[in-house]
Amino acid sequence: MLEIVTTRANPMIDPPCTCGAGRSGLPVPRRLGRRLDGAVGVLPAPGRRPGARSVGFVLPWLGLVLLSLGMGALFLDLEHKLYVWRMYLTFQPASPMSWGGWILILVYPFLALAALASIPDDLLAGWPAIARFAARVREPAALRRLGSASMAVGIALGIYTGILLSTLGARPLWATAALGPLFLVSGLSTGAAFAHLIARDPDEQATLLKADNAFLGVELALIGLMLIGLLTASAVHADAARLLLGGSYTAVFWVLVVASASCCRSRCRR
Amino acid sequence: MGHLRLTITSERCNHCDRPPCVSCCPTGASQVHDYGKVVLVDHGKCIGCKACLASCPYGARFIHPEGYADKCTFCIHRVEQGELPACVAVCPTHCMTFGDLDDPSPR
Repeated sequence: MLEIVTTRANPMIDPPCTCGAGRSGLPVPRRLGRRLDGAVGVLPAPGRRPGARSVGFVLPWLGLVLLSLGMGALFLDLEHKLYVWRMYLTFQPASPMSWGGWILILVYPFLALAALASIPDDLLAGWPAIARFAARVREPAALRRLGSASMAVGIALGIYTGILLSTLGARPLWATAALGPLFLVSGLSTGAAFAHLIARDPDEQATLLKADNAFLGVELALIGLMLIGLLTASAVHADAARLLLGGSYTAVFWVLVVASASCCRSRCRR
Repeated sequence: MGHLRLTITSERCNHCDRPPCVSCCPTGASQVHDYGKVVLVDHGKCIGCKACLASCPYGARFIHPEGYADKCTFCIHRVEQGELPACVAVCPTHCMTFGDLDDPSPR
């Protein structure tokens, strides 16, 4: 069947395509922001104070940098930038983006406390007030609470983008409940791979490698489940799944997303 | 020999009963107006995050050159004054009508 689609294209009425917007419909800065956010999701405070050689010593600091980069990318993606403060004058429970905006802000204090706990005592000798506060944060019970809270906000940070996209019923490929867990596991996998890349301690490297492999396996399984779910749903969802299974996005998705990410990751491993 | 298929698709705002563009808005800029449940955007609250553009199944929303998300307002400023929306008022063939679906008598 030859299908001819004609539609209007009035630049004053219809949203124009911009070079920043990929074919997924999500602009590049937002995709970058999401990925960085996902990576930050696995960089919370540890349940114990890390040693100087531990990767946990630098992760909170890198987390602060990556989170700020992600926030910056999300800000660049806004079209009405000077009104961004409006996001933080309200909380809209039905809007996953509102949840995301607040979660992003909520992550900062936990990362800052984790970073403070990682500073060696001798570096804080000149600031007794900060040193006393850091000592309180380093108490085992406080560190455990900080670690638990950091994991909770890290999971929220990693999962909210997937939930946001899955609520967009107008985009059948995204309208699947598997997307939230998929984004979470993808972020965990990216974070574990990143931590493995900078880890110096052999034991930590081995642990992070195992974690990355496990997350990667779960991620691939979730992609499979997502496609099965779409294929067994309504016709529009099945059509959306076929875009990745023989359709126009098949090569791009399986080669540039799945295969290249796996190859890149294995190349980074030592 | 291929078959020709004609599909008529609405690309205008349908002012949905449960508008996804309103529920996804993080700032409350998208809202349902009291008058006729018309879906409107408060420009001063919109941050231009484009969540509503992605959520609209009809592709009816767009980014205004000034940065905020915009859409058909059903010419609410005219309707509130008892006038017809501009597109209905100027349609030379009168192919469009405007009124309350629950009360078809006034057309």
